[in-house]
Order: sequence, then structure tokens, then C-alpha cells
Amino acid sequence: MIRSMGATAADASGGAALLALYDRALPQVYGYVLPRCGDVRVAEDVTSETFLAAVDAVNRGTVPELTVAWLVAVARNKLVDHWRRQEREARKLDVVHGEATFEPDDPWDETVDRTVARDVLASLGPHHRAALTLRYMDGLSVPEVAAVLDRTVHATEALLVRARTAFRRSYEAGRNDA
Amino acid sequence: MPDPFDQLREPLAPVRPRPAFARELRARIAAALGPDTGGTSMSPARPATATRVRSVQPYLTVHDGEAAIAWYVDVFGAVESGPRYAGSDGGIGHAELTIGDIVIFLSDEAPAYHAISPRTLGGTSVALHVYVDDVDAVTAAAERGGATVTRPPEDQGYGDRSATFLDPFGHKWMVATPLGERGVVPSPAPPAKTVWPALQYTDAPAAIRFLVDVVGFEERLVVAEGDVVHHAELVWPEGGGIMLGSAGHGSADEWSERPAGAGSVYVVTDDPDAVYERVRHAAGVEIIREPYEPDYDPGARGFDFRDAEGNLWSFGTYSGTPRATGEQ
Repeated sequence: MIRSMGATAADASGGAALLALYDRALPQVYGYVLPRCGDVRVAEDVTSETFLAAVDAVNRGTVPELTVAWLVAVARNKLVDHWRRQEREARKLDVVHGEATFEPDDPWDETVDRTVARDVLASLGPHHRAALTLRYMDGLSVPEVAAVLDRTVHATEALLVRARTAFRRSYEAGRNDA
Repeated sequence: MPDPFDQLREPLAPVRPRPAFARELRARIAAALGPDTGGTSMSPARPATATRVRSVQPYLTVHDGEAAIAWYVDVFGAVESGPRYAGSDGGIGHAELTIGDIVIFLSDEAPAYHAISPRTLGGTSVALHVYVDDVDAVTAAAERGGATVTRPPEDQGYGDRSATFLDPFGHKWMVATPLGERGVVPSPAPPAKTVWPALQYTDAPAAIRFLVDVVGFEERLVVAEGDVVHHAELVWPEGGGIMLGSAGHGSADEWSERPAGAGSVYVVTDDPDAVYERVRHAAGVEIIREPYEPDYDPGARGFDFRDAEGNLWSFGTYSGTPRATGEQ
């Protein structure tokens, strides 16, 4: 007790700072992850991975700046990792599942219903879902999406075209069913 | 026409996860940070005085420590509040859980240390009685988690609603909520009975700042109007405390008319040198005696100083003559 009273704020380690930030950061990180994956169990897993990765970074001294913004960026990478795992699983399950054939990205004028859009996003393949989430839900630029997905800008542009086509087909099919 | 895809934009908005998840993740972070980072001691759920509380400390042995911790977190809302140590066989050698203000230690089986679980023993002879906020909710959660409820929640004539169950690890819990207090957090225990020296200060607010910020007392209560302190209680973290007030502030009581600076107090502490380091350069402090070992108690440590208003303070490890056997 006495020894701890002699401690000053300057002694506080990154670990203590992370715990101090936790209560404020948790709803922000979870609030980022949940609407993007739409599943509480997955959101909790990705949130846990985010904070435990932060612990690793703290222990290795590789945290650029311990902020909520940094934690959200870590969460974005963890979400992409999640979609990559899903993609690998999907390939194991369905080897013949092909990508949507390349179509011209013709203009599409429509007011998108956000609730329907989320369901449609959730129904897409993980790589399409990842690309559209990062580009449109997060509002990242194409080069930023490319960096997070670890692809070239050209490959990312092509992926986005295919993802938009898949989204639009699924969205319109859903409306025609209704 | 805007790109319809732009309507997918999802601005960052905070969402609170399940409280049980939030608690569990915090405990995992604290455990992953390890004791060296100060991670675990930052947990607000851990009572700072846990190691000094004079009560029986349950130390449970279980056949699956990892699962047991998860179970106690789920059912009791326990928080893993201390560092976890691995046992020699890679299992849990030691873990600490806090349920409300109760601390429980836990380990996997270690026959070499006679740490044997109820499953191996085929039963337990000890029941753990815990007051909880909502006995019905805890019992229901326990049952969902695989506990055997041997006595469902029932109002008792002595004023509790209580239930008994065996958890999946064989430990027997008696959980209870005082009738009429369901959902109400029990009021904190009254402080231990002790003797309170009372001091008067001309500048009581300054004295409180010195005693709290420099010496290391904790501010429990200050009743003040402007600069006049009618009554203040400062407690010493290791036990005991002082009361103080403004001298001569005109209220018609004998205590406030005592002259300031006439007090002397001896405080028992395990680490007088730490107090010495904090006060030695403080304004107005005069060290009367540098840290020394008193001849009446070899191995003990202590030092004395005069505060800015003249009161004499001694800090030392000597805690008084041990009471004789049979003495109350």
C-alpha cells in the first residue's frame, strides 16, 4: 500500500494505460465490430482478439499510440482476419463455388434500404463482404482498402467491381422475392 | 445522384456489449498483462486490503481450474482479480477471483500439496456461504450452468432468502439475499473499532492536503464551510486514523478551543522509510529524528517529525507489546 502510493502517473506502464482505457474503448471497439459482422458471438470474438492483440503489442512495446482510434484500426484488421478464415472454410466446403462473372459496373440509381443492405452484405462471400464493408461502411479509399486487405490497388478495384455486382444482384433478387 | 453504395456508410457509434463479456474480457486482459505491468492491481474490483482482512479465505481445489473460473465468472459475476500462476504440471497453480467484495483463491489439483478436488474425494464437507444481490438469479444461472440445486430459493425465518447448490466441480454453495434487500447492494461494513486521536490545525485545509497528499493518509470525510473544517476523518491505510478540525473557529466546543500544534501521534506502518522519503522535503516539516532502530525493539524502524503547525508525528514498525495470553 505504501509503496504503491509513492508511484506516480509517469510510472504507469502501457499495461495499466490499456486497462485504464478499457472501459471507454470497449463500447467503441464493439460498436465498430458488431454492425459490420452482425453477429454477437463473432463480434465478441473479434473484440476479444482486438484487445488481446493490444496486450501483445503493449508487451512488445510496438504500440504507436494507445488510443481508441488505434484499437479500432486493430479491430478492422481482426475483422478482416475473421473474413479470411471464413473464406478458407468456404473454399474447403465448396471448391466449385465460383465468383460472379465479371460484368461492366453499370450505373445503379437506387435508394438502398440499410436493413436489407446489411442482410445482403451478410449473405455475400467473405471477400466481397470485406471489400464492401471497408470501402462503404468504413468509408475507406480504394488504396486504403487495398492496404488493409493486403492486395494491390488494381486487384482491389477488380474485387470491388465484382463485390458491387454480387451485392446488387442479391439486393435486387431479394426485392423481387418480396 | 449519389452512389447508392455510399448509403451504406456506418459511422462509428459505441455499443455496450454484454456486461458478463465486458468483465470476462477485462479479466483476460489483466491476466495477459501479468503482474509486472501492474495490470491486475489496477482492477477496481480488488480490495486493496484483501491480504490483511482477518477472515477465512476459501481456497478451492477443482479438477478443471480453467472451466471453474469461467463458471464462477458466468454464475456469480466473479472477476479474476489477481495474477494467475501456473502449476508445476501446467495447470492452474493459483488464481484469484472476486465476487462482490469476497475474494476466493483457486487451484487445480496438486496431490503433492494435498490439494484434492471434491470430485476426487467424492464430496465436500464444507459449504461456502455467500450473500448475493439476487439469490434467485444466481441459483437459476447456477442450474443452467449444470449445478445441482439441493435446496431451491426459499424465505427463511431468520430474515434471508437462501438456496443451496452443488456446482459442477463439487463445491457446495449456500447463497442468500437478505429479505427486503433483494437487488440492493449491501451497505459497507462499519469501520473497525479503534482509538481516534483528534488534532486542531490553524490551517486545517492545508493540513489535510499535507496529511493526504504527502504523508499518505486517506481522506474519509471532511465537513467544512469555506476554510473552516468542522470535522475531518483521515484513515491510515494500514489501520487506525485521526480526526481533525480548525482550531478556534468559534463553535462552542472545547475541542476547537484547544491550541493548534499541541498534538502528538504515533502511527504504525510496515514501511516508515517510505513515509520519511515523502515528508522529508515537504514545506514546514522538521525531521526530529532520522530513521533509526529503537533499542526497545531490535529490527524495528521508525522516525519522528514536527509538522508545519508543531504537532509531533512518529512513524514506526513497532506495533505495541503483544497482548498476554487470555487478555481481552
